[in-house]
Amino acid sequence: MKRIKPAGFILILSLLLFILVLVSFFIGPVKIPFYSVLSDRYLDILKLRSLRIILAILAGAGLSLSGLILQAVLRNPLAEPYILGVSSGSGLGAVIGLLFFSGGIAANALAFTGGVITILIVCALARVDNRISPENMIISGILVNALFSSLLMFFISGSSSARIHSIIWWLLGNLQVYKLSHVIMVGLVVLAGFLITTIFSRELNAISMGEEEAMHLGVDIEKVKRIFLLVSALVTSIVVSMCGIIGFVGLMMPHLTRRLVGPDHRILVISSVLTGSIFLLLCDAFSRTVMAPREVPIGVVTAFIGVPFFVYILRRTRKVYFK
Amino acid sequence: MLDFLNVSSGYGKKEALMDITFSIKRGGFLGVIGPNGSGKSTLLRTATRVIRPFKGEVRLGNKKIEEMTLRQIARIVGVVSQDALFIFPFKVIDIVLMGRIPYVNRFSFGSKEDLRIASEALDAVDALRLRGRFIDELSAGEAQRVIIARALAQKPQILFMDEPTTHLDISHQVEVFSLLRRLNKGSGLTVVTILHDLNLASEYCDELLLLKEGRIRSQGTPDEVLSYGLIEEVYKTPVIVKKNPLTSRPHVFTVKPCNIP
Repeated sequence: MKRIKPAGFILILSLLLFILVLVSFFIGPVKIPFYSVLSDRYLDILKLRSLRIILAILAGAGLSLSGLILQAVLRNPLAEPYILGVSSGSGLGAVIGLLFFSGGIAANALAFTGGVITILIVCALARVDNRISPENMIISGILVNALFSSLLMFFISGSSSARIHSIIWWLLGNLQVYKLSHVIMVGLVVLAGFLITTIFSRELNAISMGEEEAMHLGVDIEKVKRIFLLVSALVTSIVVSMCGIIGFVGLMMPHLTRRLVGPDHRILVISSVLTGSIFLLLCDAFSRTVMAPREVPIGVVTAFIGVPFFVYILRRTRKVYFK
Repeated sequence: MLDFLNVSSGYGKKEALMDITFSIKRGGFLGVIGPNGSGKSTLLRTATRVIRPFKGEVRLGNKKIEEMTLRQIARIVGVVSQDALFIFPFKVIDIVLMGRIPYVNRFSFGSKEDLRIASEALDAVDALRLRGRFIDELSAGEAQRVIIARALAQKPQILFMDEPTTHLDISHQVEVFSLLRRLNKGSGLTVVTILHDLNLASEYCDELLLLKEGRIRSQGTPDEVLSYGLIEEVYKTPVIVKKNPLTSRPHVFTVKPCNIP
C-alpha cells in the first residue's frame, strides 16, 4: 500500500475544503446568481448559509476528531464518537429540553450536559483501582446507552405527535443554526479539542500499542487518557447538542484518512479533521439540493454517500479489514 | 543497578509479591523463573513503575523509582513485553522511532540523530531490511525483534523482557538470546528476563531468581537454583536435572508420574 506524502495531502485537503466552502454558498433552495452576491437582496440568506457552512465544518471536524481519539484510546477499530453513550445521553437531555422547557437554547444546553454527564458516569463505572479500563468503558458505554435510550423512548412514547416529529428531526441531525453565538461556542470547543489532541498526538501513537507499552515509553497513561476522554466527551457533546446525532462521520473518516496517510497521529489528527469537515460539507450540500426545497436529514445523507465511498476506498487500498 | 528492598506489591488490595529483596549489578544477566501466578510479571511491573509497591523501596541506579517520572525511567529502562498490540499498520521504522519518545520534543518527527539510533537498533537485531515494512505483515519472530529494537532505541541501561521467546521457534529463541548476550557483553547492558523455559534460563543467564507464591524461594547461579529438589517443590512436578554435555549447565527434564519407579 502506497501512502500519500503528508504535507501535500494536507495542502490538497485544505484547497478542497476552500473550494467546497465557496461552492456551498451558491447551493440551496434559493438560487443566488454570482453577480448579485454582494447585493443586499440575498444578505440574510448568505448569512444563514455561512453559519451553516461553518457549523458543518466544525461538526465534521469534531466528530472525526472524537472518533479518531476513541479508536486509539480504546484500541478498538469500531469505536466512534457515540460508542460511550453520548448520543443517548445528549438525546435524553434534548428531549427533556424540548418537552419541558419548550426547546430553544435550553434543549441545546441540556443536550450538552447530558452528553458530558454520560461520559462521566461511564468513566466512573469503568474505574478499577483508580485506573480506567478501556474494556470496561465499552461495556459501561453499552449499558448506559441502553438505560438512557429506554428513558428516551419512554418520553417519546408519552408525547404528542407534533412533539414526536420535532424530536425525531432533532435525532436525525440538522446543521441549520440561526445564531452566530452558537457557532462560536461549537468553534471554541472543537478548536480547543483539536489543539489539545495535536499536542498529545504522539501519546495517541503510543497508546494505540497498549497502555503498559505506552508507560514503558514514559507516557503518564492515566493522565493522558483522562485528557483524551474529556476532550472527546466535550467535543462530541457540543456537536450533538447543536446538530443532533449525525452518524458515520466519526467512525469512517478516521479509517479512511488512516488508509490514505498512515496511522501516525501527528499527521492523522489534522488530516482527519480536514476530511471530516469536507465530508460533512459535501453531505450537507447534497441534503439541501437533492430534494429541494425539501431537506433530506443530514444523518441519512452521511451514511448514504459514505458507505459506497468507503467500500470503494477499502477495495482500492487493502484487502484485509483488520487483523 | 536495580535494587528491591522489602518490596510488597500487587493489584488493588491483593498482594502478589511479598517482602522481595534482591539486587542486580550493572552488566548482570538475571533470569526470573517460577510457576504461573508466582509474581514474575508483577515483579517486572513494579520494577518499571507500571504499578507502585505497597511497601518497601525500588531503586534504579541509586535513585528511588518513586521519585522519578515515567519519562526519566524510560530513558534508563527498556521493556519488551508480551502484549504489544498492532491495531494500526505502523511502519517498522516508525515503531522503532517511538523508542525515542522519552528523549525528543513532543512535536519532533525525529531528527537525523534519532533516525540513526533507530537504524542502529534495527541493525543490532538484524532487522534493518524490515525498516520500510508494515508491522502487521511481519511474522511473530520478526515483530518480536522490532519490539526489541524499539527498546534498544531508548538507549536503556537495563532491559526487561517478559517471556521474549514465547512465540518463537528454537532457532529464533537461540537467536534472540545470543543477541541479548552480545548486547550484555558488548555494551554492558543489564538484562532482566522472565522465562518459562528453564533450560534457556540455565544456558544464558548468569543468575536466576526463583519465585514461589510471591516470595523469593531461591537466588543464585543456575547450578544453585536448578536443583531437582527445589524445582519439584516449587513447580510441584517430578523432574530430573542433568548437565548439558557441551556447556555443563543444568538442564531440567519433566517426568511423567507413571514413569517414576
